[in-house]
Amino acid sequence: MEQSVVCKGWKIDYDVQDGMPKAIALNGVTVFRQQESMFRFALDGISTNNNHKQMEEILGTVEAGGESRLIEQELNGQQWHVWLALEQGMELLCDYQFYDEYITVSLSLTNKQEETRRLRWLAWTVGMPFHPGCRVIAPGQLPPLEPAEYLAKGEEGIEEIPLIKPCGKLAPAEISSLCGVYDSGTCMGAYTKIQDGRFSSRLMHFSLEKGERAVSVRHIYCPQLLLAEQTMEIGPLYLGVQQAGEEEEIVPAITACSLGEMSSGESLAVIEAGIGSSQARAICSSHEQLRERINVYREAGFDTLLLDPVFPWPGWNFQKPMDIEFTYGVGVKETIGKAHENGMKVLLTVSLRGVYEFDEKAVGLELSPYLNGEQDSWFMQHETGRFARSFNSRVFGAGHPGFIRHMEDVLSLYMRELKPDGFFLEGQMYSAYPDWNPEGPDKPWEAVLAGVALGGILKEHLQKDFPDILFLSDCGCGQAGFVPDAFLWDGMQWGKYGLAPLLPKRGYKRFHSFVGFKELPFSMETCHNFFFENSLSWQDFGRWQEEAMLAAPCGNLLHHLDSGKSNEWTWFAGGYANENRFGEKVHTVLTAICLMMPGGFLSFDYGSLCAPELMNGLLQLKRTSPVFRTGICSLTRLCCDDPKVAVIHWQGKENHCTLAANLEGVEKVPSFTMDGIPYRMNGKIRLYDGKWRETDKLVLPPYGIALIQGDRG
Amino acid sequence: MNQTMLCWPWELTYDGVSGQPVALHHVERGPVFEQREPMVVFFTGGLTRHNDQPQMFEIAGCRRYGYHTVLEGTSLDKGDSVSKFTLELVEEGWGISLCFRMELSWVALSVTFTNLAGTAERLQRFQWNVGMIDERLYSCCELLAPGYPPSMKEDYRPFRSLAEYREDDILTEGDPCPVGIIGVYHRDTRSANVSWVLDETFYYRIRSLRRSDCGQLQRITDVFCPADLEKGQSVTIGDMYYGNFTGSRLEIIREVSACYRRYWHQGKDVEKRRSYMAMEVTLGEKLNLSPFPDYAALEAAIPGIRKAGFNALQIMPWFPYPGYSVHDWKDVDTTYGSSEGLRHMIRTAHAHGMKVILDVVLHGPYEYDADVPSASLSPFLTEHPEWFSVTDRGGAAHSYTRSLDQANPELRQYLLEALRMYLEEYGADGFRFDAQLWNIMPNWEPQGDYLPYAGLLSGNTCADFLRQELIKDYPEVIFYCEGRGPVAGQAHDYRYSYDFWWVAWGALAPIVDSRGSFHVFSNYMNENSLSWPDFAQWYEEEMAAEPEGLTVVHHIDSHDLHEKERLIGGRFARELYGMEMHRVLFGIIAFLGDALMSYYGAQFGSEDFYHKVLGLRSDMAIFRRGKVSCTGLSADDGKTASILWEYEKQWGFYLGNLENRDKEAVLRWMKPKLPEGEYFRLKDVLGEGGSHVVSRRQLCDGMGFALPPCAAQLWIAETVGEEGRNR
Repeated sequence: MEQSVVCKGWKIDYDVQDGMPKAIALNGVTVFRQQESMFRFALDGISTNNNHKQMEEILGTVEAGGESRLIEQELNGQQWHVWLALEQGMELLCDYQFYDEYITVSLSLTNKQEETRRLRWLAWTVGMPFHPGCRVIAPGQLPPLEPAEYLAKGEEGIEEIPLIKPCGKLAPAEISSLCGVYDSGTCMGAYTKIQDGRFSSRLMHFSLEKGERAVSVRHIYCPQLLLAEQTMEIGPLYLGVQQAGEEEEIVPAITACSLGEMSSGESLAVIEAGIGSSQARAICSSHEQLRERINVYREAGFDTLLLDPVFPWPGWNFQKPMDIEFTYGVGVKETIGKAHENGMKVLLTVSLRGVYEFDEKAVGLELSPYLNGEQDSWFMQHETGRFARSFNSRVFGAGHPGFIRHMEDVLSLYMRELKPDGFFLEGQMYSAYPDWNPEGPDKPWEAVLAGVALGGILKEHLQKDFPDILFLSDCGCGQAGFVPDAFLWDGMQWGKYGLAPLLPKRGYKRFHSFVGFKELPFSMETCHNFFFENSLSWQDFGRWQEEAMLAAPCGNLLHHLDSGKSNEWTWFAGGYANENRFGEKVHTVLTAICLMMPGGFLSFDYGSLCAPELMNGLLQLKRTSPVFRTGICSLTRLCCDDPKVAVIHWQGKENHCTLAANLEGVEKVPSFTMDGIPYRMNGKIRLYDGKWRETDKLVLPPYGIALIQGDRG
Repeated sequence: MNQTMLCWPWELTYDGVSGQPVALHHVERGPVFEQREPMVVFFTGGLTRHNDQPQMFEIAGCRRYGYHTVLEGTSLDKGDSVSKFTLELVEEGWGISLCFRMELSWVALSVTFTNLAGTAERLQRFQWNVGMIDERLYSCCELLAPGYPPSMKEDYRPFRSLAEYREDDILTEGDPCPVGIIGVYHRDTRSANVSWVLDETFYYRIRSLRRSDCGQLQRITDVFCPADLEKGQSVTIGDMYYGNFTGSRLEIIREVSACYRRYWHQGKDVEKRRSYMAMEVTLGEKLNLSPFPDYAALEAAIPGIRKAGFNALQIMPWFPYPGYSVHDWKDVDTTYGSSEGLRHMIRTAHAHGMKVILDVVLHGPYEYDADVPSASLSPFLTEHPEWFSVTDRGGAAHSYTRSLDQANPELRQYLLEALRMYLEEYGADGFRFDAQLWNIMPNWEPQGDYLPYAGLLSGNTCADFLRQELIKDYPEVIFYCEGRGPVAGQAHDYRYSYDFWWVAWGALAPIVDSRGSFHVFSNYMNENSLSWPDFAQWYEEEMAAEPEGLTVVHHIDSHDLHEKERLIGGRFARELYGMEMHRVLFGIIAFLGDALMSYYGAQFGSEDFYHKVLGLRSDMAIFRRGKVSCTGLSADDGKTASILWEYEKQWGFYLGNLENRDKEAVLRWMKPKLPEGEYFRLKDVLGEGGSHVVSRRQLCDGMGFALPPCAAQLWIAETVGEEGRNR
């Protein structure tokens, strides 16, 4: 039997037995519809392996929440309190707070039994009505990589069709946690999100069920030992509705009203480089050689050098960071000096992963002094009592006060001795799992995002003496109190596979049974299959990219195609740059797209640079032309009649700058529309097809890149 | 409405409208299967998602058939000795013929798919579904699945009742069926419903064995049969078998395995087979280790390896290149590092009484500079593009290398010439074929008179061809495979023991390495959760299903174990378990009764132990020719390993303490027949257990042994009279 509670235009129908919402309507329109429990907690079980998935791969959990019983409910002004008795002796208080356009729910789970229980996660399940006039709101999540007719429906008789391809805990999409459905009939978008920066969460499924309901399941990781009468608070969780006249307005509308301001940093053009041998390649074997390349970087337009540790050893290993030359190589100081002389900033990559416990890549080298027992309390602990590990490292508890102070000392030392301009904190989310050490300073769940929070602590500490210091991050934008100055953005890391074909001969390894790399969010395994390859139109990608950027706002995104990581993720294929995957010409087009995106740019020195003349031309232009500082960038407003011509349009008050790039090997004469009206661009046309030249007519040669600059559109 | 066909002793019930089999009963023994889902569900069309090793397993967009069949007709062919009953079904342009061959001990099913549509259609695979037992019987039934490792999602108790599993998935998708026998053993009636497969051409893989929602245990086996069928064209697949047997678990497995007898390669005599004790060595540099930078270094180590007790060397390809890549088998300098070095080393090994086996990589060449940027690429890539498999999208198929089609006749001939060269010119004694079935994928453009699916098991059929040719001139040539099951037994003398990994990786003993175990084979749910009696039973059941003549090469350390830890740097088992426990485990594999191997470096720190163990194995007739039983003795605690040996009137046993603590173990004789004599003097010839005398009665009532932590003891019995007892 169902009853209702009504407040501020909202109506929640709930089951009087289990106390869970069955339908939620705003002004008479049902926007959420539940057939299952909205809140289910996973308890107990065994973390099966001491590795990077130790928080997520738990066997033998029991559930609390699937069969709840309503104890009491009370509507108090704009608050509705619901007390539920759950299985396993748990009690749950759900505090609903009604606002005009959304409802928040804060949860308090209490262990009402004597026995201590191990809380794993909350599975938050939300159903939304879905019909052919609906579209998915999941900015930053990957779309399914196969056409609908190739998805699960049919083959196994499964009546669920995935609406997205969940892309993992490191994905930018998980920062916003936005997930919902827009109904073009009612012009309403129903969405969910979490406004609780303490927890890591992950969208596990978002599927169309029986053709009529979109169901999202999000795991919110809150690992904690719950003693008798102990309570765990989670939330608030948001159930929102937003009006939007057109479907393309829904994501901007939601993000505008729900996400806070982020930091605005300066646009950087970063080249990532280092010395030593990685993936059986040595780009520069010494700092002398690297210094020789600084002129090359500068001439290609880069203004910042991101300097990685020495490879292969210590590599991504926090071996003995106080030994500067061991970590960054003999002559690092001179390299930084030379970069500064050339007007380049220098950021040092500092790996936060942990320490190798054995001599993997350099037989005979001594192990890290952190392993001598004196700093044992700095390391995380797996629930078995062993030191927590991830791949090849014993991992630090980034929230441990002793470790935090040590990191402050390390970075201060670098600032004093090497005088870099900032740091890239690498692997902040590498050990995103609990620290079960009961004697540790933190609650187990606090360790999950401690690596991200550490960024904020370090930044604040160093800013006292170095107010202009820069922090670059590849995760945690706005999470856990850390606001980096620049954020590595990965939109192209999946989009490139849809925009262009791979070179056929090269193949890649996929040891999916042996190695957990298939879960890496933007690895080739995640982002590529034959159905998706080269199937994406520029308009669709542009739309995705714009919505994704709105949902993970950051002052300064660093777009990139090639990075040390992208090179490394193809480790099993030997590690190779995108140039080898796509061919030089397509690679150049994809690089031009990255360069023209709003924000900064990062590339990787993989032995050569992609079209340095092109990079220099575009980077200088972005640096000098006011349209890039004050104009508005759109990837979708200016439409080309050819879906394989990428168009990035910067519109200022008085002038515009537009990139048109041909993703295919045939000559094209593109025509454009803006807002559905034919649009003719005026201005100077510069064409890049190996080198820059001026032209009168916009004819795009195969893989040609045109830059049109004029005073108006 | 159901119809029944009686063909003594079998009673087959089928749906009179859909034609789907409903149940099979043995008139005396009872039900064999009861179908609540269609028996055959098949998939057509679709495309592969990735051009990689599992490309055949991940086809998207297939159409599914099997749920809407219509019975067209039946036929019963009462042959002289065996009757055949056929159900002819149709569904949307497909004809499905289910032919049941009613033999006395079992029923064999073959399935024929016929394209009745107007256009060519692509058949991909079918699911063979078997409804094994009703859920009401879960509490009194056990899984009978010889050779299958238990589920990774449970602690390792292989013989619990079906009701006691935590997860509904009892077995899950994974390796190909080792032998394909899966049954349910009824404890009270000592009977089992069993199903299994036997096919030389098509590839079978268990998809699931599940306590299903429809209230029964269901076996679902994927049968891959990729073929383009023109209008009217058919393909026949099988056989799949069903039976109901009575007896002990082992007796039933032996009865079922008799079905495979025609594939059993009658190998060399048992003494010769057991005598293979190989040391695997890598030359060059691998994982930053260079134990043998050249052949001279290996030659210098040969006396030590021989002294440790090994009598064969297994030479891996040169590392890092070609490593696990094919360059050109005839280019010895590239493949094995140095032709002269190899030749000289083999002579030296022979002079020390050691055989030399060459590890031959078959699956294909790297196409890029994966590990060695400066390496030259295989000439096969440019000179023989026709030797490679082609995907369903055109273009060469890949795994991490480009994939050779071992069904290609020219390729086989070339390989034959290369292997002959190693035998003739280099004096090699045989070959181990690496990853023979790695390229489990069809060749959609076969270069010869064969069909796409011929490539699936071509690693086996290619070995058949090679053996048949080489054995004419080299009757003693050793063939050693990574394949499994009855068909692999046809061409090979030895097989690599992957199936032992789940034990070696932490099921029997605690892992002491702080790095933990490799997640594919072990986790905290099951680490150290296996008791010796459970392992012994599991192992004997596996061996009962093994093809006779295909000798298992046991190992604790191998290049694979060492390398699979690549992400954590590679390691030996002594690091995983600790030096002392590693010796206990090595003792187990040494006295399991088959061949063995190790990986160079594993013996460091235990050279004397290896020397003793392998010496005893070689010197004592009981180990050369005796019978071995892992269940012949029973200890009163689950972490004491005991392996009983008997030969003529002699007997003895290996005793290993799988725990790092002192303990007293009481052993009892479990075999029906006791050894002759009233008193026996037992002497530990391996450890420091000393000697003592036990009576015949004590064999049954219990013999007490004091076991130090991680003790490895080898007790040999000598019959003594009253006088000897007193002394």
